Amino acid sequence: MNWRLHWERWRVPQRPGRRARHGLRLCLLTSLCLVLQPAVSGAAADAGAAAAAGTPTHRSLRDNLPSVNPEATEPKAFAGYPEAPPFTVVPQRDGLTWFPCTACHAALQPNPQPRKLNSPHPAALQHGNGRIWCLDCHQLKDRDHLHTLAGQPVDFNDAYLVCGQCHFNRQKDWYFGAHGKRVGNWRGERVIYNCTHCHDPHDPSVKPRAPSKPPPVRAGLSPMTRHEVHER
Amino acid sequence: MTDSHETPQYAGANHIDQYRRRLLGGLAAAGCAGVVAGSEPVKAAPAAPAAPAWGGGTLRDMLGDLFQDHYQRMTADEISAALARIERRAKARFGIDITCEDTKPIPGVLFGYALNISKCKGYRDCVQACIRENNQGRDSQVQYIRVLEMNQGTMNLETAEHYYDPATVPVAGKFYMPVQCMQCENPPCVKACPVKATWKEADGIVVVDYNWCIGCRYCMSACPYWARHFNWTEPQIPAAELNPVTNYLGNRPRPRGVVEKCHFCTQRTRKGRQPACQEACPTGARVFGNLLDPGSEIRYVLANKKVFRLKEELGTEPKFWYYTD
Repeated sequence: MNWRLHWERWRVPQRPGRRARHGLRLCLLTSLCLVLQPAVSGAAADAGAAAAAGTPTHRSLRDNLPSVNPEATEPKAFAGYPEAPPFTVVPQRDGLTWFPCTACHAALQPNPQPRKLNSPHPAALQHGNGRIWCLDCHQLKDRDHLHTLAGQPVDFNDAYLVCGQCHFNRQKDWYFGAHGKRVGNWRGERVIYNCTHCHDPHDPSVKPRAPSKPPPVRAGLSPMTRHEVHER
Repeated sequence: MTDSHETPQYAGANHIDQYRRRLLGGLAAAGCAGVVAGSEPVKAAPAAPAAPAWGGGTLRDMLGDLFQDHYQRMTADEISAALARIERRAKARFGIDITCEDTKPIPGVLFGYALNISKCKGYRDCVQACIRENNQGRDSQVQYIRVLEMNQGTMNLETAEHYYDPATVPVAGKFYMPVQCMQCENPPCVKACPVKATWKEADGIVVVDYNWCIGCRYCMSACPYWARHFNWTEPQIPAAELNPVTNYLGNRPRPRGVVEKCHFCTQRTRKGRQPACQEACPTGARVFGNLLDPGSEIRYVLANKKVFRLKEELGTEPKFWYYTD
């Protein structure tokens, strides 16, 4: 539908005859209300009586609550969107520079104290404006895994489960293919890149970089002229 | 049509007009031979000892090109003969064995494309990938994708800039909108073509038969998206960079004087692969897929994101959507 055309049609000034008919309709409606008013208020009085007698007239949310919430005891872990097309993620874990982390951390005392880290770890986390730090995503005990906020261990290849806890809208788009990138084919087995493939989890914003060269201009033409004229 | 026997002034000239011009000489020679020998003048074209009158390849190839029918009217045998001619010509010109195929549309598939302009940063990686994939002339202006740099908050194509070249992109206050062939469902270019050298295939891709195009460029003026391009010169491609996987209605080496356009990489997509621009996009802004498959990614985008089509009011029904987050 073309909304602009539609709007133009809507804005066409009305003919005077139409306005007069509109007034007539208003008059008719008002008189009908006046005639029917006693009947309507009578019906309302009946409803009040029924409520007093204990017959449910409106559905009360509070009354209809189940006595026990079956899911209240055990929070369910997020398990993806069942209606999203199935996928596998391009594995990343074994390509990480310092993986397995336990190669060093097995010999180190775990220190949960927030502090400035030394190399090879980033000194400052450019993510979350200081609201998060290492152990919000990395496990203290099992260094080779991440964890969700609820404490479930997450493989490095499934990092999207960790990211999606805050970035749930993006994550949903990613599950369905509106965010992120599919590899190789448009049909058949769906392989997609993980969040951390494109975004450095410790500095996730994508940095500006140089573009490829602009298209060639035909000899004798200046590419900017037209644009500059318009700008001025 | 050219080969190593050519004289320098004909090097790289495999343009159809020139076949025709040189053919006159060739026909005369072959005709004489036929009269003298009295049998099969066409097949009897001898191996040229020096630069022959028709400029290179065999007379049979030349005649085959000249009398080649419209793609849609060719029989399977004629098509395979045409493909073989294309491969021979590329071998003669570039010294490379290419494969030229005639991949048919996949039944039940209608291709659509969606592009996230919130994600596009104007890197032009898609443009470069397209040039390499589709064997476009390296210095010609033929680039299927034109990335427009636009002022944020506007949709004015008149002030869009596609020659932008800052040190880094994205530039503050700008957004980037790549424009390529929209593969319209109601394509004005097809209506404009006087010889029906361009048409819409069953999978929705608007293709060009480069052998049938007469180069009148009516389609270019009919296209509201500036998506069709004319080969003013024969596309110059370094032999080492030639993409040897080609398709008749796609990226096969083109002659001078014909119009070409984005064809959603028929040589890839009809075999299930992603188009080269999608593969090259570093931001994942491009979503390609089958519009007839309700579970496809592009259908999710169309149903759930804020989408628009460029110049939708023209009624061309593009199958290329832009969306925002």
